[in-house]
Amino acid sequence: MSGALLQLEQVRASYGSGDVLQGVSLAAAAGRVLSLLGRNGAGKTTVLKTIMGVLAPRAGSIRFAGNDITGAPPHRIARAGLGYVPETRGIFPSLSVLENLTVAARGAAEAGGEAWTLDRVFALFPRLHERRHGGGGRLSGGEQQMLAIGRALLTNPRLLLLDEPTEGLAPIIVDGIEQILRQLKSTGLAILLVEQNLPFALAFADEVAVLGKGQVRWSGTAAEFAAAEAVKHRWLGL
Amino acid sequence: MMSAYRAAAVAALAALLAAGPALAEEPIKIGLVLPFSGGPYVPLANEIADSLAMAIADAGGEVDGRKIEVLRADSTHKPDVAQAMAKKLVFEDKVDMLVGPVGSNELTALFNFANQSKTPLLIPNAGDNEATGERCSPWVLRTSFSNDQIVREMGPWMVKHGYKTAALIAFDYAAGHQQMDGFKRGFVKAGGTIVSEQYPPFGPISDFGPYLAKIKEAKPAAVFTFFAGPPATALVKQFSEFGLKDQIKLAGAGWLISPLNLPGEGDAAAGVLGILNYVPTIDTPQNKAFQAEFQAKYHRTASEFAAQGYDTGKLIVAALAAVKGKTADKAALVKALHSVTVQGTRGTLRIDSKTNNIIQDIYIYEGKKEGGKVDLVVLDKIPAVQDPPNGCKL
Amino acid sequence: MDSGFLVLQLLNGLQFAMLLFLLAVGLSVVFGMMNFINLAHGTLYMVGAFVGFTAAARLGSFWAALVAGPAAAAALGAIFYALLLRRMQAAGAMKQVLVTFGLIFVGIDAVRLIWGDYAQTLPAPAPLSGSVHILGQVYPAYRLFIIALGLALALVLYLGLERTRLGAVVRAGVDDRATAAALGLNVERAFFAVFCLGCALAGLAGVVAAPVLEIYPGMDMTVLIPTLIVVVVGGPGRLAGAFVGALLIGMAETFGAVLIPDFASFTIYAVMALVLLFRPRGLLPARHAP
Ligand SMILES: Nc1ncnc2c1ncn2[C@@H]1O[C@H](COP(=O)(O)OP(=O)(O)OP(=O)(O)O)[C@@H](O)[C@H]1O
Ligand SMILES: [Mg+2]
Repeated sequence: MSGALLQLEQVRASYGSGDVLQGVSLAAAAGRVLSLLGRNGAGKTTVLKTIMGVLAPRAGSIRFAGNDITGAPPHRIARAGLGYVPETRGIFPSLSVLENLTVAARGAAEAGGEAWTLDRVFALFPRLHERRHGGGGRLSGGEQQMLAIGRALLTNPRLLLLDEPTEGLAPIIVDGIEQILRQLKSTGLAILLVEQNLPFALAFADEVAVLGKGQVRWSGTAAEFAAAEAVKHRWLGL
Repeated sequence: MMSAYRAAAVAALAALLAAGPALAEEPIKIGLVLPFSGGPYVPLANEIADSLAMAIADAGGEVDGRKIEVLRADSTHKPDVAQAMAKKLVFEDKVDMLVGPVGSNELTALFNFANQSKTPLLIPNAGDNEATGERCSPWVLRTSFSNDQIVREMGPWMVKHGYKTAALIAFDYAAGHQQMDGFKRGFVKAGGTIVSEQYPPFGPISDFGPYLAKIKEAKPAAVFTFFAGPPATALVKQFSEFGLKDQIKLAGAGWLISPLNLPGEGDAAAGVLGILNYVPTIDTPQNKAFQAEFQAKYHRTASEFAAQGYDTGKLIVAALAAVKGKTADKAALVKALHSVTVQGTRGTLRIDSKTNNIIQDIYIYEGKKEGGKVDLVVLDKIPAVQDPPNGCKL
Repeated sequence: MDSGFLVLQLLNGLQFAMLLFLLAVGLSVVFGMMNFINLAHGTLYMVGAFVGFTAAARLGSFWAALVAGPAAAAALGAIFYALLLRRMQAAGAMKQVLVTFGLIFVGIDAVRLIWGDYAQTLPAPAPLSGSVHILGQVYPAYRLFIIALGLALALVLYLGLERTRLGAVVRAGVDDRATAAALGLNVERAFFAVFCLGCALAGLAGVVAAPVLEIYPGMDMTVLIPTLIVVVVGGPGRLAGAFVGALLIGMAETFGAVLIPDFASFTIYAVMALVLLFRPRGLLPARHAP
């Protein structure tokens, strides 16, 4: 896996006492969707936060596109080509929808495919276009999710980190998001998807990694995962 | 032969011993406790100390063969430091008398120490009425003024000159109230009416905007104030900037337009009335000589603080001469201070044995613009103003 | 109350409010950004005034003071940020209060050492030293200048915060610092810039206030309490809050001083208590992400 876009090795991280991540090793390849699964509290969000540098790792190393980003400040990590859609969505209520989209917008680091522009994002999410002058704090849950994704896309990332994009959304909205993610995948964008919703996660995952008790307990292709009943039972309680 | 030699030796020794004390006589020591550093009165402390030293030097620097030595101690504008310095001067340096302080904040500390240690203390500035009134001490004498003494004559004078209504403004502290009360008593008695009284909190803030708006609303014929230092400059300037000058006469205890303030006040000081124990333009040979000497040395006009310092020095020298330089008997020294009369920078001066406060002339003057700058022109002089006992039983 | 009095007092109140606004805006916005209360903010006001005084004396121009004072305050703020604030952001409120409170006295003594213990005055520049007629009243031109400057700066700050990219980065950082950083925004640098700007405004307030108030070591202590009250009343963290708070406290202080002189020193505390009774988070509190 030396050609991986993102590689975590023996990463440990904590919020104080007791490591939440106890040596996580993980690899995500360019152009592919990796689904990170795990029970509530397994540490999935913590993995993403640690990748982004929001939480500094206590040990281990994180490499992205061949560079060591371990311990770098979040804005540098993001600028290296990581787009982040946090679990809480993190919409800025003091900014309009338009400002939310443009505040962090960046051109593509290297011209790999078509760059994301405001027009493309609005084409993807017409709803955001309608509400572009409204406050970021006045959106519905689904709209917030669209905004968070659109905002991350406008940073023109090489890898998109999505933390439970379907959490708390109505089924019809979830379907919409699924369509969007399929479209994104088809553009060749690499995605690291954290999900509790197994059918949704498996719908377009290429690889699967299962997190349990602070470590990656299993990893393999989506097809292998479909057959790994023991893993599902032991680490996901299915 | 032997005995003759011995007799001669004894005689020579006796002569030496007799002459000895005269040759090696200890100097007379005067201890100054003033805020030479710290607080707003640093320039005042220096004016007083420099002029006092000047007066002693002018008198020859000695009395009956004893040199007069002036020791300066820095009170740093703190009462406890003032007291500690006074103690050191008296007990270690063995000074014969003390001079201090500038501001009333340090007065009680020095006053109490002088009173208890029976050391003559001359106050060269602080004007608290009670120091030479109700609380007077046989050991504490004042060569400057009492608050009441400065302003007492202004009320009747203003009524006489057609200003029948007045607004008062001074900081909210003892001196502020004493000055305003002193003015008010005479003003009301002479038929004047006080239409507004304001006492902003004591402090360095000198934004008078709100108070001036209130005065404007009260429409008095005149305003009487007590401010000194930078707030005085601020008041005079803002009074003019707010356009009050055209409608209302500004008057005050004379520090309002002190020579120290005039450069900062500029044209705004024109037409402002002051009442004080000194004006640089007093036309006497003593004052002219003093101003000339001070000007030559410091290249500026001597202020009322310098005048008080000089006159304090002059009174000290006169009293020392009266006791022929014998300072061991402190009661006699105080008595001598009561007995002498000097022609000071500000006229005839004498310390009242009934109150220990000075008896002096008081001047009423006005800022007049002449040749591009404002000068102080004396309008009136009230001679030999003496405080009533005010509860002092000496 | 006659109308002349009312006009004069409204102008006086507005003038004082603008000084308070210049002082409070940095303190309030920095608190919103970094959850940090810098009690030594007033020190920058004092340093601005003294450096301005020296610049005016050396270069013979008030306008030199208007540049040098804020510049010195911003530079001092930058040093303070690098040496202390970065380290202390994570420390508890108590530690921040104690350390920055201690700095106040360091500041006063340092100013004493450099400039001495004298009160200094900085005269208004010649074109503004006279009076003008406004609304039927004679009013000092310089005070109108303070009002105009304050209003203009409030507008510029508002546009800067609402219409510029730096403003958007700052707002995003205040809303959700971690997410803003994880999107690639250099929040720290933006906050640093705003912190220095806040310091510069405090220094500017010092210079602007000098012709009306005095310059002396300890002048910061007299404005610290009203400034903190403005921040609390307005609701910490927002420009509009600082502006509204400054107006309210400026007017309360100005009218209280002469209308209820016996309670003048309590007026602004009473106003604060009243506001907090009905709006515990201030009049216009910051909207933080949940
Ligand atoms: N800010 C925090 N401070 C302290 N502990 C935290 C914090 N955030 C998460 N934790 C703890 O770390 C562990 C992992 O949490 P994390 O949010 O990474 O789990 P998760 O797999 O994302 O769970 P979920 O599926 O509920 O989102 C949990 O035990 C949680 O209680
Ligand atoms: Mg999670």
